[in-house]
Amino acid sequence: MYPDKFEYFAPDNIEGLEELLDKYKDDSKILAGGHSLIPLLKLRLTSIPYIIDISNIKALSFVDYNNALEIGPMVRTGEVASNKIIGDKCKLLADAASKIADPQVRNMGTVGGDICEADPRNDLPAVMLALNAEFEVTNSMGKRTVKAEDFFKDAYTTALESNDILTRIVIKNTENYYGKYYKYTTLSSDFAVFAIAINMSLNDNKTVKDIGIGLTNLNSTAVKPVEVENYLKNKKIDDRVAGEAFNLLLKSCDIEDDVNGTEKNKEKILKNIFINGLKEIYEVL
Amino acid sequence: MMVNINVNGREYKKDIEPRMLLVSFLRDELNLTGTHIGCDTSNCGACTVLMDGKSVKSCTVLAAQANNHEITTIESSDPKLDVIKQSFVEENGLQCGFCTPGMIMQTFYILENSEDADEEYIKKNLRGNLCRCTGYKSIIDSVKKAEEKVKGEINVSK
Amino acid sequence: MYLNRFVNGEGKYVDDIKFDNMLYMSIVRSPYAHAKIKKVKGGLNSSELKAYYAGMDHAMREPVLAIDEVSYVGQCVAAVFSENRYESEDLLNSVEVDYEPLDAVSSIDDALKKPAIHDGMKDNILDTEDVGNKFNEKDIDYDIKVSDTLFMDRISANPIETRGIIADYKDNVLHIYASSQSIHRLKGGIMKTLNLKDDEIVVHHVDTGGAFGLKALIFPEYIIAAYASMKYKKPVKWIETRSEHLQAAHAGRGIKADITLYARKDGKINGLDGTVYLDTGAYFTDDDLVDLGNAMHEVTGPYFIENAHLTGKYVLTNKALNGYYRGAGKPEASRIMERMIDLLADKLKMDIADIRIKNATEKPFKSPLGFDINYPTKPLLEAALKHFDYYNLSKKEKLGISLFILDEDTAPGESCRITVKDGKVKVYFGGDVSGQGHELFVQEMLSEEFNIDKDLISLDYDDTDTLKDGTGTWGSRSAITHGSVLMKTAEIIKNDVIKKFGKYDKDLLLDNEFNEYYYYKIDYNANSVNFNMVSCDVNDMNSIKIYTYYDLGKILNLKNVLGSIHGGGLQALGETLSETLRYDEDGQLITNNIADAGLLTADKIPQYNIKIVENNSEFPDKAKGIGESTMIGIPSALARSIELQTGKRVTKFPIDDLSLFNKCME
Repeated sequence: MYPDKFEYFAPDNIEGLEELLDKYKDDSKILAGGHSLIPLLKLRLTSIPYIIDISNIKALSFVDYNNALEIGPMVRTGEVASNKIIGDKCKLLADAASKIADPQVRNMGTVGGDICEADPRNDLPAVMLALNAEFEVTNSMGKRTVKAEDFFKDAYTTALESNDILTRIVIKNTENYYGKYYKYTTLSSDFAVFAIAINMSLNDNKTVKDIGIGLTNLNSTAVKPVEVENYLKNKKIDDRVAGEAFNLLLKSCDIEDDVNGTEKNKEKILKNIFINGLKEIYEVL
Repeated sequence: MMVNINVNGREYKKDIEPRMLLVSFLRDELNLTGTHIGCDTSNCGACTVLMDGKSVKSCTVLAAQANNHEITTIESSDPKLDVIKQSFVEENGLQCGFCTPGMIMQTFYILENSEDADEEYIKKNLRGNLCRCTGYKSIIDSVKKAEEKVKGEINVSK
Repeated sequence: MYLNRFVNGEGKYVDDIKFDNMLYMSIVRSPYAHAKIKKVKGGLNSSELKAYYAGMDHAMREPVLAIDEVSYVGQCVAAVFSENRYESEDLLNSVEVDYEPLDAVSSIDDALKKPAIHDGMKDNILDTEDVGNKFNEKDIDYDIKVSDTLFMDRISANPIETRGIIADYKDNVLHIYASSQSIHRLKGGIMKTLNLKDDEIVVHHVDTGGAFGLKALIFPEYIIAAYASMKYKKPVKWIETRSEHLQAAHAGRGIKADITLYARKDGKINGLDGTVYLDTGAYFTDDDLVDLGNAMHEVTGPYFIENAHLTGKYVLTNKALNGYYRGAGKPEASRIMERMIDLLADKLKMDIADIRIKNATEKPFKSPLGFDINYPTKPLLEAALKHFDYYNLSKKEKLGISLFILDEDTAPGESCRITVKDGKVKVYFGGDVSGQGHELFVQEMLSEEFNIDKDLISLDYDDTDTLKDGTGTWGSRSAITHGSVLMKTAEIIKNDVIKKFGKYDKDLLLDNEFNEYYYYKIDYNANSVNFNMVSCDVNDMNSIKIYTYYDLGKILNLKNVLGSIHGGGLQALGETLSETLRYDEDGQLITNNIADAGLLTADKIPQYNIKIVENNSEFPDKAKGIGESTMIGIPSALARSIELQTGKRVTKFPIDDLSLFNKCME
């Protein structure tokens, strides 16, 4: 119920943060909203000697739009769900953020934390994959850009090194796109049993111009089924095309029997959600 | 470490361990025992308080994170909070009373952040608060009643 | 008024109480479902405190602290203490325990196949019991025989306030402050385990944040805290974490039944037999007898079945102990019958209401299983069907129905003290309220009886000195027991006024001092007949409609009644659809938090159509019970509504089917 002892730092600028990360490396962990980290500390499933709270760094908290949507990692997910710019420019992200946990958790949890924790059940990794987002990563040696599809390596494992900081999320696929986050839960928990993020744009002739898909909790980490995306491009979506796309989608999934249900039952539900989702988005566009 | 936390309008400077949770700060350091602990996984919402006007689960916030921030708890004497409390009494929006402070604080947040919270909105925004006694019906009625009263007062003052 | 206390955050729950020099206790718990303890070093362990804690003497009682062996995940192995909560958790690491893991048994079916989990036993059957009249099927009049297996998995009580206690030993008296449904029962349990005399212990009631049967029990942690306080001569506080609750708090349900009905073609049931199994967990507790007792004796419920016989088996598993959960065997019994009668109706192609009418009774009766039914059951069934226009409605909605007896645990009665002083009336009940809002009916009844303002009346905290005797709040008893003893004690006070002044008026009452204690004895359990109907669309959680037709006798307070129906209604949906504790085959609990335990949130509430009839009871307050009715009546009716749509017969609770009630978030 109560965390083990740790030392706490709350730098108010990126340089200060870089220094601390260089100093403490793997013995340290960044605390953003804390809604993944603090429960782990409380249950004593982990013990971390140096906790670095980044909430005082103002440069990590912004939402801008200049040809691309740019979001700071410390923006709370509740803010993501209700922010007007995000709502206008990126329906998928706003929709997914509104479906994370509950209002209190969204008031603390951050977009960067959800991405960097890379819990396979977290919602935003799949959304980032569907949006083809790019992450600006900073450390004391400089900055680099990592594409979302290169970012998520495995459960709780990302391309970030121990001294790296996610400093900016860039989303270019906004104009003319529409998307939605289809999240399936149990009756009582707000974690995804699985979820599908879809972001789509159409050509004038009603064929798919571009589509991004991300899958939550259908594999050891969030997955981008590129084969499905490629298959759907330049096609009109009907039952046959959607059904064929689903068959391809299954290749990216690792579905097993578990406490939530049998493989067969889950596959059936997933198929329904995916096909209805594709059609719904297609029709809105 | 030293923290300076404003609770219900009063500044508290305390030397605490960094690992101290905000809920422990309130309950053990300040003796404000109205904020309750019902779980250890951020599910139940019995520990809900407002931080800078936003509802948070104080069992999953370090007191250190609240340093230099404003916390509002069930013990606050905010007049709008009183209206909500009275509505819970009138609608019998509680039985054992244990989840009640968290429910009321979340209601406070709902009413501060929505002009027109309908029943669906209220239910969705109470998802982070568990009650085992009431089946939520009287709680939802209490929120609706509080909303009517708050709106009524705004109209009167206009 | 108590509501004001709670909305202002001024409730006095056990964790709100602080004493000087108080120690916080944390418990080292077994990480294994079954293991030998090769070594335990540090903390307070069984090398010092060697005790067993069940109320009844039994060879398989649980040791307060594990002795040589652990038999479930979460079992208490050692205790550590510190003046700081955080540091007491730090100290958990200071205790060294060496385990040698053993094979574990994690379900009733597993237990019936595998070797005994305890040395000295030949198998995992702790006890066997027979009820009813054994019959030979050749001797009874039947055309059709239907059999099935039903299973109701374990459920954690999960009150939002977990278990908790403060033990404060001072001046040779052990003071206990606990979240409890019965301080007298708790006192008895601690006295027995620690060999204390009656004047060496006082148990104080404090606000209790929900109980649901669980907090009627005694637990090893309470004994450890009491012992530690006596040892260290300091107050000792233990507050359970939710994770500990899921692991170690005694769990309810856990019943499996193999049942056969023998019936004539016209639907009349003439025989019932079978076996009912209880998952007792790793050790015996007194609660086992109540849970399996109810689950057997009450099976035939509102139907007169001439021949009935059941064998009950108490089955040991490597899991936390069995305990009470809202209904304690009564919901299980009714669900066994109602699911079987639906099956029979289907086989006979009869309407589910018609077959119930056929088997309901015109007169009170005693069942062969030993259940005394005090009222005829058919009139209420027919009235309820008529009220809801069942035969027309069933063409439009997928309806399940349930007719049941609510057995109110009124015996042995209840105690009450009323004091009048300084113009205020205070009431103390021996059966401790655990958050059901009793103060509402206390104020309503006494303000009428004494002709005084409600605000002058309060229900106060009692202790085992204020009230020398008392029972508890459980078994849907309070409306009858507490209401009646309140009436009786109020009458005595009124008579005191009349004796003293020759007449009664409210000023004579309030201007003087009175203090009366009364124990209203009831030597039998009352019961009442009730009906539920449920419909739903399996694609929409918000479509569930609950129809209740309950006979409550005289309503003491309508808010209490509605609170009980709405609260129990949602619990019943949880029990039917999602609530359970899941274990893997090694006996590891894989339900890690209260959400995974299946508790439903505010966006899942059903619609209600509530009809209450008031056929007065024979008790002084004319009331009948309600607390457990929803848990008994709703699940089987909801299951029926679901199976009508899926075509898959429901025999397992919770139904727990991911595809039901489309859970794709909007």
